[in-house]
Amino acid sequence: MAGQAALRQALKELIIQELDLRAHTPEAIEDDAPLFGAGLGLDSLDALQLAMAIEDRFGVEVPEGEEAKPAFASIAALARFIEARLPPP
Amino acid sequence: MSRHDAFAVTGVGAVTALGAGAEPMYARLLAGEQRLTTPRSFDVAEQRCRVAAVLSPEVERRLEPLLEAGWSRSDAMAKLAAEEALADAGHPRVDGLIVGATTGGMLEAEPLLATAPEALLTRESVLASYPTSSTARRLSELLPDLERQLTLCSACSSSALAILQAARWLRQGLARCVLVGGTDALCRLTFAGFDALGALDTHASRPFDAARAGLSLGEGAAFLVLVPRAAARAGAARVRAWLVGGAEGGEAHHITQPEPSGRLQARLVTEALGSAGWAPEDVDYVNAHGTGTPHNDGAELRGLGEALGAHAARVLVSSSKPQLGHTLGAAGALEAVVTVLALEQGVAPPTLGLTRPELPGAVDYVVGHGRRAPLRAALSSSFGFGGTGAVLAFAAAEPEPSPAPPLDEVYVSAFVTTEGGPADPLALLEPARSRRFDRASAWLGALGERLLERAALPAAERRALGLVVAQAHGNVGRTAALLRRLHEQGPRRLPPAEFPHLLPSAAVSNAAIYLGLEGAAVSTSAGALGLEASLSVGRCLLLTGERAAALVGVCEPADELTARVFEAEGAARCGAELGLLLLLERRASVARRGAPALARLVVSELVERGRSAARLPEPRPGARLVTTSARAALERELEGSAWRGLLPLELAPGRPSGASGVPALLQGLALVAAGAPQVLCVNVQREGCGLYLLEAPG
Repeated sequence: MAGQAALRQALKELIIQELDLRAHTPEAIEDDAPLFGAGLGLDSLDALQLAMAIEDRFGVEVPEGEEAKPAFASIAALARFIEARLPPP
Repeated sequence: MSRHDAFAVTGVGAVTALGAGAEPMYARLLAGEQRLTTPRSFDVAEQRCRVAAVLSPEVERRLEPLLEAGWSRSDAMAKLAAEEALADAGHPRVDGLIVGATTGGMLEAEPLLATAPEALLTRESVLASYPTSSTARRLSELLPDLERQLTLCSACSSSALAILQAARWLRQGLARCVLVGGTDALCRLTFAGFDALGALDTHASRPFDAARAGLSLGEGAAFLVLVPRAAARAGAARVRAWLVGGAEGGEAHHITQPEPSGRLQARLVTEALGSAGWAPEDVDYVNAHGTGTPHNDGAELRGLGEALGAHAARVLVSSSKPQLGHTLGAAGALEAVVTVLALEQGVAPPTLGLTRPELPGAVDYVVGHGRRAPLRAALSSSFGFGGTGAVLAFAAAEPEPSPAPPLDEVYVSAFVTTEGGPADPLALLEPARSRRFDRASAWLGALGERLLERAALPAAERRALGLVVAQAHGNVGRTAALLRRLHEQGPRRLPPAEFPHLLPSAAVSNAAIYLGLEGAAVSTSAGALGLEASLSVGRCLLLTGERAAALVGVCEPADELTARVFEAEGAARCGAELGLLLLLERRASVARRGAPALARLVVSELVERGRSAARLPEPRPGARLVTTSARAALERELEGSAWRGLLPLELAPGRPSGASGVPALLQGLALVAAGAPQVLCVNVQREGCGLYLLEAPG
């Protein structure tokens, strides 16, 4: 689980950086809080930007549109989505 | 536009994927021709979408000599369309020129910006054609009687807003014959940017269809010649149709996504009907914005339904974008030409690719081929990134004249500048609502907020404010950074959220959304005379009562590359940015608030060199003259006017960028505050001459 925690932390930092969430700290983003709509207030443009950033950073292909919704539900969901697709260490 | 206004369209011209010439284009539209091909101006091999409505081979051949002579593609296209419109109108004495555009010379500058941005500064022809204002400057060489030129950007509604501004010039006596239009050459940045947003249909756009999957980009230019009623009656040119109404505004919702209920569309259609004096039942045809993106078309149809009620189902509606492509800054003028020809010929053009409407029966869709129908009244809609749009109303026949109300008076009621502000203007804004803002966006948001706090406008008046701000080149540094990434990593790795922030109108859009302003947000491009361009547009908005108040000013991006572009263009170099935002108000608005205004803005104009003296009333006793320009240039400009005899207060030459007029205007306001009855501020630059005449508010 240490890997999961590190991945979540990395994702929080990535989101803050890529989506210009400059008022947020990684500590203040909850693992299970919704990223879109309420929660962090992200929108579809952010989803596109985030998908590209994740592909760049982790080499993991992110689906588009409706298919991406479950993966983008929260930091925890995103971490699970990425971990399941990362090549084994 | 106001209730009684009517202007004759006496000439039209267009170059598009459907060839050279407005009438041949219209015949091909009616026949259902579609020619989407692979762009040749740049490489699209790695894009998801690889087709667009690029100029026909016939147009390409006609462009060649101009391109060889150093014209940018946008400028060259505009020349062909403008010359056609002028010939069509019988070569009238054009005294006003307005161009709406978003890309300017981006296509030619892209290879430099992507690899060696500094090289842009020394490549004279590329640099000269880089700003969107290059087109008007080039076209002005064709127009010996030209008195004023203007370049506007409000993303994909740019040239529709340009047409409404042309109507204001004619109505307010600032011009007697206006050439107005739009031009945008397709470039890598546009193509890769829209593709990164997932906004392009890989085959062809299918507006209003349930399975629509995005837009098809296009390129083209279109121009119209507009004259007032009296000139139309006296002139030899045939009147093709009448511009009888229109409205512009914004929704302050999101930089790329339209507000889904179509509230803005409904409001603008309702206002356009009101200005034309029409009931919903009078509308026969609507040339929709109809991009073919899932978000746009639904919102647009809902807005039409809201505004037209039960009659919506009987209105012929089509989008010309599957055939012409989405031509961005040119789309408003191009679709205005289409609408004019529909009225003239009594045939509505079709929407291609529409087989199963998402909202069947919402309107009467014209599909496949043109449909003959008695068309008397038609609307043309345009909307763009940032949520700014315009709806134009055209009629086949001249409407009954009705008396024109007198022009209002315009006051400067407050101003704020960036001077003395924090090092980082973002610190003044709410972080969650100012994401991805560049410094210009941040300054405009912060200045706007301070100005609005000070003015304490009622909520409804605050919401209705227009925002007009000069931004000559967009943010060149940010554009170069994205182009470098495109060059190094290819189009599939382009960060999608970045692209919408590169438009010349991005900063005004960002600020309008931040401030919740629902008047139109528009940027002007006029080189060193940006402030003058914006202020003249803002004053026009108020003179005929379209707006009670507007925020106007200048705030150029402070990135190093933008500053150096201004410097290379000949503007003076200065360390820091200088932004200024003013609140302009109509007399009634000032009186209602009971707040003292700073000055009455009697004249606020940007004219061609040597045209100033005719614009000025006699100086009053005690009048003062302020300038940042050299004495010789000032005297040449005021030749033949009694103002030439006044001893000018000479200030140090203006700041770099479009803010060159700021010191003189601020000095003028200070002199009025100190008791001067009348102050003339003159700013003579390469691009023209800026004039402000301020008087004590009384």
